[in-house]
Amino acid sequence: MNTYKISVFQLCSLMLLFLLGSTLLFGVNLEAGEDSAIPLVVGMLVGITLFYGYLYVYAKSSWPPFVTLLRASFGKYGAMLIGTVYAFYFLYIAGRVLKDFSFSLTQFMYEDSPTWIISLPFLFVIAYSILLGLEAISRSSEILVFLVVGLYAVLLLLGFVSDKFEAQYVFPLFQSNARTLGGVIFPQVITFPYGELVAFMVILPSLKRSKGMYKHMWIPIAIGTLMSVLVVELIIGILHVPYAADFYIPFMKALELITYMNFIQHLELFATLLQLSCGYVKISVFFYAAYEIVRQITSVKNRMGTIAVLTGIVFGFSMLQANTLMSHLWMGLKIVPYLHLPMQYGIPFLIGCIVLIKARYRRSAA
Amino acid sequence: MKYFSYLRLWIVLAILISLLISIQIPKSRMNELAFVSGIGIDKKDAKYEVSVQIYNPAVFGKQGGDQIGGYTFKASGHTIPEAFQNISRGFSHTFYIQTTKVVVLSNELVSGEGVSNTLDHLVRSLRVRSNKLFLISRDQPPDVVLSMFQPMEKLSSVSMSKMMSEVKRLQWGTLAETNAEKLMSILTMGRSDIVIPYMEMRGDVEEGLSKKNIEKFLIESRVPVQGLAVFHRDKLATWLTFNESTMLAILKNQTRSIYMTSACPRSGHFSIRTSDTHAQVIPNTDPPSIAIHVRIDANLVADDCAHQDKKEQVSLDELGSSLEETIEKDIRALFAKSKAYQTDFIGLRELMYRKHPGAWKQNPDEWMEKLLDTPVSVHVKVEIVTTGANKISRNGGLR
Repeated sequence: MNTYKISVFQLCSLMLLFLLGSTLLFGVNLEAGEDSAIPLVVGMLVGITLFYGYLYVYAKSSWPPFVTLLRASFGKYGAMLIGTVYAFYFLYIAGRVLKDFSFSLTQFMYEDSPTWIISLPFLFVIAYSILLGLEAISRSSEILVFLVVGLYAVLLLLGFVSDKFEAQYVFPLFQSNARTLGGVIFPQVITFPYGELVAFMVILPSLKRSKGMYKHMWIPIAIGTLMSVLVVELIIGILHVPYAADFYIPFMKALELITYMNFIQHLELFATLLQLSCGYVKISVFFYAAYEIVRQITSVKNRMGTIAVLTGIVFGFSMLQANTLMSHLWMGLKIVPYLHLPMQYGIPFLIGCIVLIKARYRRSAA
Repeated sequence: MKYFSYLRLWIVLAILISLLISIQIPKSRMNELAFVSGIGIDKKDAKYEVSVQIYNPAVFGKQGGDQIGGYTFKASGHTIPEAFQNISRGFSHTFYIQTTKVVVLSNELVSGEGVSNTLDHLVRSLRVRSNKLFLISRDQPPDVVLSMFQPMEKLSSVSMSKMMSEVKRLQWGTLAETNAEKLMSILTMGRSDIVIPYMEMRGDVEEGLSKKNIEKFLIESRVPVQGLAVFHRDKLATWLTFNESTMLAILKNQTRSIYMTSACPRSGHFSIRTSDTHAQVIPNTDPPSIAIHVRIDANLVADDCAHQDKKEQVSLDELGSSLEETIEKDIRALFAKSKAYQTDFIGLRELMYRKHPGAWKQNPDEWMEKLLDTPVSVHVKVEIVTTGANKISRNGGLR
């Protein structure tokens, strides 16, 4: 059993890179025009509430492993069933994110290359990290977070001061009606990326607990949102809406347009490297969450064998995704959010209710 | 020990994957590529005529001094990709389009079919990068313009690209740098109209197509940029002169340092170089009107305000007022052109939408129709800050 405890900083790094993950690639929703940042801010508030909800559930139940928490709520067989569903859900999302990155690389660097050839080496690196354990992933993210935040800051700065950025196109704000904003927020933004933090329910028991830890958990969500908001405004200022929404990856296109003195150009290549870093963390978290659930349910001792099988499943899920980027995105942004809802909100809410009722029952019995 | 064996396993896997990748990812060696520098697009007899200018790698070698800088190929097709395919068919190298610096469109294409289809292809194609410039050739087919011998540069497309960089730096700012994404974005928003710089042949075409053109001290054949082509939706509406284009750049706060010439209060002419320009175009809703405020700080660089009695002196304020009148007249002429061709290249509708979104939302169609006809008030303030190294003009006129 993995006894490594991650620090609050490591958890925050994981959360930040996880949130940035594929969000800046395919999660930038520009349907609300100049107001596209508003759904992100609302999503952030929902995300922070949701994450503190997860923390509350664990704090009330003395931080048990995830499957133990499920057992306490739904009984042995219920936990096994729901745990299995969660494991497959996490593997499916890992496969989807893997496909996102494969598509993005075939869009910008390896045109006409089959997506599986991009997925395979990426997945092997992730599988190797899972084999090394949570410590390897969290320490990697601890290092990567400085690279990612620093480089993003430089890219955003270069973007905002470039002559391609036209600030007047960012305005007017607050012109969208509630219906338009609501349509973007629900179910898409609250499920992707904020709801996906549900994967951290499996990791939270491995957190090195301290008294002040609750004070910091909102920070990665807020920083992740701030970076996403800045990216959205950069895209609107360079490509303008509604045209920017025509691109599969508007962030990359906006960066492609930025040049300085005909010498500094192709900034999208740096963004690709950053996206790979964030993608590595995001897929690793989903993969690790699935692996932990499988380990806790089945008590299989062969670590390498289990990871090999799960790697095969993730690869299989990634291959089973739509073959065209258009249908992949349609599925991911229009259909999959409804699959997310019960997993990210429904079941955790049920667990929370059961934990609360049990706590109240115990108190009254005492 | 256990982890060491794991490591060996992972290394073997990594080598296998590397082999797989090297087989699967399409690649070309450098010596198999032909690097494209410029693309020309024309439309004749319902077919696209595409010309491609490539670098001649031999010119960079030790013996390459006498060689020409590149070659231009031309073919036609029902679509632009088909024309590209027809060019590359039978050619020994693969065209590498990502290095394209300029795209030259023909007058026939922009005034006939419009630019939407061409732009759409160039944005859609993953092989064409965004940082390419668009230019229109007003009087010559693009392949002729691309094949011209130009001084200082081995390739005409490189020469055009550098020329536009200079125009951007000194004259029109970002107006000189039109890329496909920006044009498509304006066309998609549908409120204002696009402008694209155009070039016009100066001198003899045959001379320009011959190497003799660059073997003399006096360059007779050139293709300089002449102004901005103005569109109505995606079709050409009219041409702005260089001066009109500069005036548009002033209104859009894009000018850096430009020379302007105006008549003296009584006789002769004087020139200034701007050191700072600031313009505000303010759309008002009640009643609908456009207010324009332009402030220019300038340096006097040439003064030919000759006076009949040589005693009468001209103050800097008088010169400033004279220039203010000239600029006001030019701005009004620009608005008149916009109204005459019903094209909003000044971007009034866009400004109205951005500054008064509430009023715009109430009746966008009405604003779209009537905004170009609203009264315009122009206020220009020119201040001549310095007179160069001399205090007094040659004519003893300045006070």
